[in-house]
Amino acid sequence: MALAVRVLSGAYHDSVKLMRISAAASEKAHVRGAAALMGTPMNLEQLAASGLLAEEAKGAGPNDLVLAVDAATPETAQEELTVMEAALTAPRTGGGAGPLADLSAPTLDAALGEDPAINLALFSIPGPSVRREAERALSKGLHCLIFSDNVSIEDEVALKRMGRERGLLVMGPDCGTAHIGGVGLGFCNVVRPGGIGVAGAAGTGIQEAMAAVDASGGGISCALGTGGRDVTDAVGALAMVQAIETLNEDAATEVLLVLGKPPEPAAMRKVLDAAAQCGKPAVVHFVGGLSEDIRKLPGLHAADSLAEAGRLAVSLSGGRMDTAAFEIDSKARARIAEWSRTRPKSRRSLRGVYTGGTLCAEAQAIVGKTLDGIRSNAPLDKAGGEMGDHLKSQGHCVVDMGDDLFTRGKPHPMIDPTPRSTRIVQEARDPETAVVLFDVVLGLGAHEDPAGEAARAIEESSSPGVLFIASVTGTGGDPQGLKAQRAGLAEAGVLVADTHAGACLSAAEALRETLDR
Amino acid sequence: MNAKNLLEGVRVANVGVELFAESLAAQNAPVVQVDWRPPAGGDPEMIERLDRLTPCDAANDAAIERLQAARPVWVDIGTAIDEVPGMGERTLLHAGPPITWERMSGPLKGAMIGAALLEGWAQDAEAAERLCASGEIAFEPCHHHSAVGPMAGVVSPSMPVSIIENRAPAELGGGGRAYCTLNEGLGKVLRYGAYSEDVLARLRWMADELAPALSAALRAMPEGLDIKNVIARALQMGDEAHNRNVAATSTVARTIMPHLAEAVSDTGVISRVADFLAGNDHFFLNLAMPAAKASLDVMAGVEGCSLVYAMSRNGTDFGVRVAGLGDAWFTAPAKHPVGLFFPGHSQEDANPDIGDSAIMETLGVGGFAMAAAPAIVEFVGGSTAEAFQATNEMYGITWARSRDYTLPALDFTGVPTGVDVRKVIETGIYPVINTGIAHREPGVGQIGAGVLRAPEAPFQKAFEALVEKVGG
Repeated sequence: MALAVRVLSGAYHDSVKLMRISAAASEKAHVRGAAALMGTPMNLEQLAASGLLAEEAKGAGPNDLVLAVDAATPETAQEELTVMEAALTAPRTGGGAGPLADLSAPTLDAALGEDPAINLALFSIPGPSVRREAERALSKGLHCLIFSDNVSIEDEVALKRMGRERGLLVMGPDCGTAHIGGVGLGFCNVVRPGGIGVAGAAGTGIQEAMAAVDASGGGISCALGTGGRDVTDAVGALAMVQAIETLNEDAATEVLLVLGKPPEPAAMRKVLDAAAQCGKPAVVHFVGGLSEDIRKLPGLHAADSLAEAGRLAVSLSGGRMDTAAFEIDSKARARIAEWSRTRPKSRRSLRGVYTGGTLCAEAQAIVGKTLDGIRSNAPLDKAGGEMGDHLKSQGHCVVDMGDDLFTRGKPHPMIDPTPRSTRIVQEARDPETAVVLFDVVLGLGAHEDPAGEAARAIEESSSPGVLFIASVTGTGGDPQGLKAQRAGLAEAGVLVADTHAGACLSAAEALRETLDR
Repeated sequence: MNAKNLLEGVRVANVGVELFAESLAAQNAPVVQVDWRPPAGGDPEMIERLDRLTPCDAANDAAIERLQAARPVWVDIGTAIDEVPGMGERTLLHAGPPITWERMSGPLKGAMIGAALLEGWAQDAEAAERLCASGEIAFEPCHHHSAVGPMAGVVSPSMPVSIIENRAPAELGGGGRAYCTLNEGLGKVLRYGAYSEDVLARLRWMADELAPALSAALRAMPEGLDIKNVIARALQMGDEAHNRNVAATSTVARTIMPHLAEAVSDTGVISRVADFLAGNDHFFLNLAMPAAKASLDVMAGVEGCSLVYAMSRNGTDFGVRVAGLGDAWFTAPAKHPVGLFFPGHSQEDANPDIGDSAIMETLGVGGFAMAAAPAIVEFVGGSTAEAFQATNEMYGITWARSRDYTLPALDFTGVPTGVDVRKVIETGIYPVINTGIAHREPGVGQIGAGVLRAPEAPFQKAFEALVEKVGG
């Protein structure tokens, strides 16, 4: 056995704390005995009695702290002394739940002082202020999740380059969803752990795909957001490529699920190359994008919808794929046919009213295969798809209520659905409207009863001639309860589909009738 | 890639909307909410200047190491004229930044009159006042002579002074000394500008009997009396080491008493000394202050350092000194403390803030360590939550957490130490200072105690000087 001591002059520590440090060291298998105490004559006697009084400690005084370890080898004894010394100043954070937990830290630095193990900074501050704060966070070794929008593209590129150099992820700006280490960040569903890792440039797109994974029995290892602008050529998919690399190195991730709106050409190449090179099977789905380029690359799989992408990932990781979810079942068909018979002939238009931006895009993509001339305030087809007046729909329109046009100075409609409810009433009362298509997004961060809010709006509109179609993006584990939310909509007379893609197909089917005449 | 630690589990600093922190807490994920405010009030020019001062980071790291390593020890008591560097025959030292007789407030003038009487330079108060106004007396800040003094902070040549030595290794600035008079007690005392005969008689007894007895006791302690140790222990016993010193004073008395009994044979002397210590809860303040000064002075002169090494008031002006800016004082008019008053006195009677004792907050205790002292939370509003908040806020403007001065109520986290001028400007948070309150008229003495924020202008001036020197 090897005895080692360290004498720290003039250090005062509470005796109970020292007992805790002694105990922690003594419990280790390779340690025969350990002590941390002030060098009073009585304490030195005690040390001698337990065979821990080395020569160097004999001169210690009452104001000196003595650390002593008797361990298997001199090296392990020294190591243990270092551990004990570190424990003297280590803050006792039991998960950040100290007495200051109820108080906000005045600065990021102060937060790091409170919990030096913080590894992620989540920003939801005004966009122009983000760069300075996020650079500081990165310089302290923190990954960043930037919920804020209105961050300039120069700032975004600078932050993502800095993050890349330091091996730190910069998710966002405008990243609303992530799921890391079993914890949902921002708007996120409660999912079971599993082997599917998501890299997404699309908030509600990630949620819809994660919900589909959950519905078909799969689980999520982690979901990293990048912010929608990441896949423009100006940013060059910096975060997306880094996210793909991170998932590739993550032992828990078996299958990658890469999501977004269609990247610009150079960014697209980078994303596909990164996904193809990673060696793990990858499902790649860009809402409204083409699948051929993806299928050409080895190891990459393409899907026709967000939900299908999620389910395909589950089947690639060994689960079974339920293809029925992407078809319209007989009950829905009957319901559409019945509505069609009684529909006033003046009602010919589709009106989509969305809280989720990516879901709004997917609606345009899927229904757009059947129906020409869909307009939106967030058009998938930037040439010619723009609504003249975002406050008043004409013809087929799909409105993203989460757009800046609607949210300036207000909470997002996923948090407060009131503006969306008002819009549902407005659209349903328009005598042109045939179908109102909408989304209900559940999960952490979302409103406590979004389906109930929508149902009340439908009742208020009292428009028996309109067919309401919706899907609920969520899981059984979500605080709102998936079943209850679906049931609430069904009771209000809504045709509820299993997936958002299913809802869009039903809407297309219903409107096909109007085309036939 | 070092994302591994992230994927294993997130520990989040949530900067902005609290909703996200609540959601994380509901998932049992560790999260610290950051109360973000636009830096420097959102002024882009100020932000640009702040960003030019990044070289201060490394300097502050070096300086704070010296502060953390400081080990102030009470080694002896001597006489000011013999011990205090640069002390002249006709010099009176005072608290705070430099000030002329004309600009002195009532209690400071009273203390100078009292000191002139004590020294026998004048026969009565009127003569003493004439002498002080004549220009024959040199008035100099304690801080210019390695000394500090509470309230008026008056040091006259014949007064006994405690000698505090920083026993840190020489390479970390060890070896320096700081000086302070012995604490007279509460009520009518010279440091509050009282100079009646009973005040002077007590001062004479302190010089003739108390100081020699304590000096003999200290000489019987070969290691001296470790003041850092006492402050650290007192923080575990409900003192914040500025407005509450009862635990520290008791600890000092308990420590010194056996040596006193050993070194002094006259039991009458021992009895009177013991009685004096037992009757003066603030005896320790005059040891804590020079200990703080000896600890902080090792930062002075560290090139590019933006940490404050002295905050002090003379009853008219509040002054700040910054390590990277040498001896310069940055001053502005002192504010009035808000507090609790002894019967018969009120806010109207209060003198502007006075004393070198803000050296305690400069060290990171006093108002900065309110979380240690639930017994005196009345000063900050009456609840321990407010005491915690006072300490919590100071973490926003300090460079480090003390290794040795810890707060049991906050899981033994270190007190906020090393006030960074840049952080003060960036956050708009100004140091919180606990203090006694002097009557505005000379000769009355202490009328209460309270708390206040340091004024803004000295920090703004220091910041501009720092930008010029370091960020140019």
